[in-house]
Amino acid sequence: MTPSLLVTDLTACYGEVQVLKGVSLTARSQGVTAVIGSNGAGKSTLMRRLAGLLPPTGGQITFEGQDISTLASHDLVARGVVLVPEGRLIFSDMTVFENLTIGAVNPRARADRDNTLETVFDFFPRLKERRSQLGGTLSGGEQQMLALGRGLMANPKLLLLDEPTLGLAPGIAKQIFQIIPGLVKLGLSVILAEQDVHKTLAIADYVYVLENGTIGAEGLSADLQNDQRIKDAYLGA
Amino acid sequence: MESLLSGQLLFAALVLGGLYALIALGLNLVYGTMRLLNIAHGDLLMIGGYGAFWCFTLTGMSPLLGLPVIAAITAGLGIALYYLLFRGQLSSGKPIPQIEANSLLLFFGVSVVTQNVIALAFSATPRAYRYLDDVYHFGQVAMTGNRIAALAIALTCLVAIILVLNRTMFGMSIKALIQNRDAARIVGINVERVQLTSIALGFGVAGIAGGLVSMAEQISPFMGFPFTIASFVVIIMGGLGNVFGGIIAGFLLAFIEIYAVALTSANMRSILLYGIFVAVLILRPQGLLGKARQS
Repeated sequence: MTPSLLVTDLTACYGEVQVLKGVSLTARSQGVTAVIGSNGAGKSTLMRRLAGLLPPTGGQITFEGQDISTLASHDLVARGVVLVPEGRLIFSDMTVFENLTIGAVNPRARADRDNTLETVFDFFPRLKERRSQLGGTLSGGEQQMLALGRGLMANPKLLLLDEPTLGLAPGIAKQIFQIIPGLVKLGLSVILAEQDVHKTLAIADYVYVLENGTIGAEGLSADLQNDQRIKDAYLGA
Repeated sequence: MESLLSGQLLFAALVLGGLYALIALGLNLVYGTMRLLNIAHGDLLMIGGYGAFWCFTLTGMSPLLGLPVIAAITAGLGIALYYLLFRGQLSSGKPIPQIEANSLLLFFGVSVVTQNVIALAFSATPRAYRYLDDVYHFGQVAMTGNRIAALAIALTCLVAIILVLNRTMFGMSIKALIQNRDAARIVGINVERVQLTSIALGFGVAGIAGGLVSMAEQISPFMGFPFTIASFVVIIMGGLGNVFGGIIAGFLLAFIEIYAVALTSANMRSILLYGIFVAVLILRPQGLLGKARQS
């Protein structure tokens, strides 16, 4: 399978604290690559670094064959690398429609905005119903849909999903997990950072286990599901 | 009591309100997008005032025609300060309270330098010129032409900026950056460009306001500070970073000021202004008109 994103020996720091200590991974083109790990393992830091939100400190990121290690976040979005952040970070004083519109701020997405909006409304009919409502008045699940929808509006090639089901009711979390394979069918590549290992293994093609800022284990989902160490540590055998 | 109900005070309050709203809008854009507390904001008005004064006295040209040049000068000053003083601060990843505190000190320095440079160049003597000072009567209300022009131009600028903020992608980017900086970067807004445009717009509008003020009032190198205070009162009343709240608060403060001075005396003006400032900070520091942005 051809790689979409190639990460080599990546480091990242928050102030003085080094959180990522040399992470290497490959995101499959038109597949779901998952990063699992416990709280504080560095999943969100990795996602934020990939999205250009943290200053580059070391390592290399290659996207579609080009070095993007030091690009600013808006340049990354323009190239199709789009983050749906942990905690959603929607604009609560803007309407659903405005949130989605601003998602298509990059030049590549702007031209196709109306079509993409239809696609997003097909995925999330609820957003269409609530299009004039302020983002802050939505429920947690609806806000997550809005964050996902806003990410899709950017016309991404690689979607970075950071804990998309954190704090959601099980029914809604299930819905979100069901949508991800649909995104891949549209031609997207996905990197999914998650704590829910069961559900993640069910939809991911390849999985990396992040432990204390380094990759502790990796493998095809099917193989990791039978790995005794993974079972003990994350699946609560 | 009868004078309170006359259109005269209403007109005065509208003119002052338009100016306050415009001045505070500039301050709000700069604070909202970058968290820079521009304590030199009133000095930009002063520069605009001198620009209009020299434009009129040297060339005899209408100061209204000089306004675009004045706006370009103050906007250019904003761009220069952005690159010299603030760009590094903003990209350093420093926590917001530290950026706010640093910017307050830096702008204080800018304010002192600006006032003294202008005083050195043009002396500290107040200056004035007469332009469009014919009086027009509408019923019982007497209005000078320059005040009518000031109101009309202030309102035009306000409407134009509101339209840009609400109807264009660029305006939405400004609002998005004000609301949530991280989210703005995530959706792919070119934060650097929005910041630069905001400071140019905020400074340019302050220059225009100064030109308008100078048509009807004396100018001096030290005229800016009361306007700085007034604009801080306004943006705090309207909710920091809340652009529309600030516009409403601008008119509100002008109405309070004009009518309270009419009930007491002109000597009360400063006491009133600072009194409202302190009262708002104590009673409702989050603003009268609700919150501006998510933390």
